[in-house]
Amino acid sequence: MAESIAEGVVEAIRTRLEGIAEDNGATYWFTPDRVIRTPTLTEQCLDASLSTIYALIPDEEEKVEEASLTLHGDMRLDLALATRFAPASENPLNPPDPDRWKLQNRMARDVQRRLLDDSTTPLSWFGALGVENLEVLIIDRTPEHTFLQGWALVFLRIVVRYSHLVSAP
Amino acid sequence: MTVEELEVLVLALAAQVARLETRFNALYPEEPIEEDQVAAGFRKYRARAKEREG
Repeated sequence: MAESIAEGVVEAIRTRLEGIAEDNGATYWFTPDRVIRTPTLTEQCLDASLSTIYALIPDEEEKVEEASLTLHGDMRLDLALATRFAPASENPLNPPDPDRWKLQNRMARDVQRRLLDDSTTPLSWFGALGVENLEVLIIDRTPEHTFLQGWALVFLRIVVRYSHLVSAP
Repeated sequence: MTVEELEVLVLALAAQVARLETRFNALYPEEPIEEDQVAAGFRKYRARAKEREG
């Protein structure tokens, strides 16, 4: 039984992120230990035995009619990117290097680079899923949302546009 | 049925209702389930993102 295109898109993103291999920042800073799918982000997702965890979290998908028998799906999802961060102190006058903010920037860079890599045909890694576009809408590093003891965390909100026949969602 | 019998019946029903209420409150406490810090941060982020998108 074939799965939906939406399912294929999510799995393609998960697989794509799983393939990140760090090279001390030349291309990427982090190799994720796990790339998980979760209905929401909880403490349970941040397993302290792991160093770097990326989580995919679903959100709304908007459907728009493109032609008589074709639809667009604009599928939003959130990525929560977390890496272990336990410095002796976060004193801003004597900050650790890298500090929390730098780690957030590194993870956000890694994932944007991986998803929007233009060294091959853009988005070709989606295969035959009919994906037309992928945009990063928001990068959220605000402490009110991301400050956790033991972890540096950053959220990315992305939208994936794909088209499909009405009869083949 | 006499008034006295009716009173006994009402008291018995009231006692039964009280027992059921006690059981219901034990099963469904009014205290909200405590949200962990990670979930709370994500909920705030998501609410803000949706607000921005209108």
